[in-house]
Amino acid sequence: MTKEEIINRFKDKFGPDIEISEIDQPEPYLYISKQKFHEFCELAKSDPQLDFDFLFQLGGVHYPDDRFEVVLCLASHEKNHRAVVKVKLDKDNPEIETVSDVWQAANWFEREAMELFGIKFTDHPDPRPLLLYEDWDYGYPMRKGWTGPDFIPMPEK
Amino acid sequence: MDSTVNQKGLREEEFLINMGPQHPSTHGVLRLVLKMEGEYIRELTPHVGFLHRSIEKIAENRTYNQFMPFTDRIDYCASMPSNLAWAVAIEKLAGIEVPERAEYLRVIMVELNRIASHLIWLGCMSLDLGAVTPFLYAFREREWILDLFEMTCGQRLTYHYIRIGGVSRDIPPQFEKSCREFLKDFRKKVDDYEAILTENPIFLSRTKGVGILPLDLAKDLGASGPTIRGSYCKWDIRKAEPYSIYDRFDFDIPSGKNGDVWDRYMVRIEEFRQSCRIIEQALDGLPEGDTVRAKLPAVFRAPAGEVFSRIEAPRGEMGYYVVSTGDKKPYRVKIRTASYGNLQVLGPISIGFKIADLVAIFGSIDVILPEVDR
Repeated sequence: MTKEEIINRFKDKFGPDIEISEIDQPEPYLYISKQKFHEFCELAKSDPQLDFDFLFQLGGVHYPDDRFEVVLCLASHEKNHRAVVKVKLDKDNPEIETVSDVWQAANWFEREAMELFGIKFTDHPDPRPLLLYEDWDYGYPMRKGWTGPDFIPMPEK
Repeated sequence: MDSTVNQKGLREEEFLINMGPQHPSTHGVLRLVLKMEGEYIRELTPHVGFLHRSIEKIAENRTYNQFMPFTDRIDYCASMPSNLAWAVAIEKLAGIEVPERAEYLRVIMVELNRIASHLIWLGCMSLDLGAVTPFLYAFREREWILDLFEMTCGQRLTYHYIRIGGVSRDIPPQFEKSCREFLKDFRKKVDDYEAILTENPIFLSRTKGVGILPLDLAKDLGASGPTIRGSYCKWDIRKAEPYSIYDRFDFDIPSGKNGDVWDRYMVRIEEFRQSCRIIEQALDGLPEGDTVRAKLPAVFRAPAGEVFSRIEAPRGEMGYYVVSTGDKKPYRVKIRTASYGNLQVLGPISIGFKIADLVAIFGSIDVILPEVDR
């Protein structure tokens, strides 16, 4: 499906909950509201026309003044199309439903986002840290402005 | 743990085995906690993160060009494809046109690196299964490829050869001859590997029907590359979504039938031959040209926006999601590597097999740990 067809297909189902990002790339970039997020992911995978069977990546982005974002890059083996789906989260209390029941691949990606960004994925089956060690107690390192206990910033010229 | 008494009056119980992080067959620092029932695996939990260097955070504090050497260290067995993944992503974001000759050089280098990376896999996997000879053969041929890389860019492991907008320098005059000799020689060597392993009864009994990966599970868990192609899926980013100039070359996508260790082995063996075909076509078509790198401003700033791009690295799909705010540094870089998805497959497909089979299964999915941990 082309970029427009994917966008229209999603708009048919989720009309007002979808917000299109105007980004000049061959893939559609869109925001889905947090309430419809899980339903959206289920549809993206099960709909025979969309058929997004492959979760390429899931990760967080931090905009300190405004919001957290969770970004999903989806791809389809059968249809050979891609989409980037984003969801905006509260900047103080980022929390969202897990999608590891939709794509099992999300399991590790979500664990990583949980420990590095402090984004809470509710109902996650295995919320242990993935990359950091067990006694890690220095906050969420991928957040903007984070400094570690022995962090020395690069001198600005 | 629960223990039960069986019909013969013997006590049966499940027990835990810790494998790694310093285990010779885990190829890096991976810790596996195995729940065993006798010799059979009932549950497998991988623990990763021992090589976590926070490359994503480093990327936010470096300019686009400064980050390129770090991509070498994401997958050090296949640095060229890692370089290419970053270059392709930023070129897609900024709309940079790469000189024709540089595109051909990129393809030659990446495919040579694919062969070198698969040679490491072949050597190590057969060594884990008790065959020492293929290991020595594989490293002998890899040496030739490393010599080719060394004469091109001066490095043998972390090349930093592919740059944003092209490659760092042209190939030396003796490269083409040596490369053609290598290809001629290597085709025979692949037949030698097959003569040693493919129909070897010991190898067959260790690999046939072991670690079967169903296709729907592979897709669901995010497996890619030879791991998913072993499960009868003709999926290759080079064909499906051609980047660089892969649409100009004629090559096949090998795939297995059953998704067992042997099928994944055969896929990689066939990829040796396909990579040779691609390099040969690229050498034939290599255009003359003075420039191998597009002119970029001294302080390169990518336009504000987002990009998601992926390439077919030797282990599978590797890609970047980059957020740019128009600054000279990226705002956010998310690195998705092939082994990250492939390692998640290990748990489900090992259940019910013996601990000795785990070594074969782990070898066949060809995980490289720095790529998982980043």
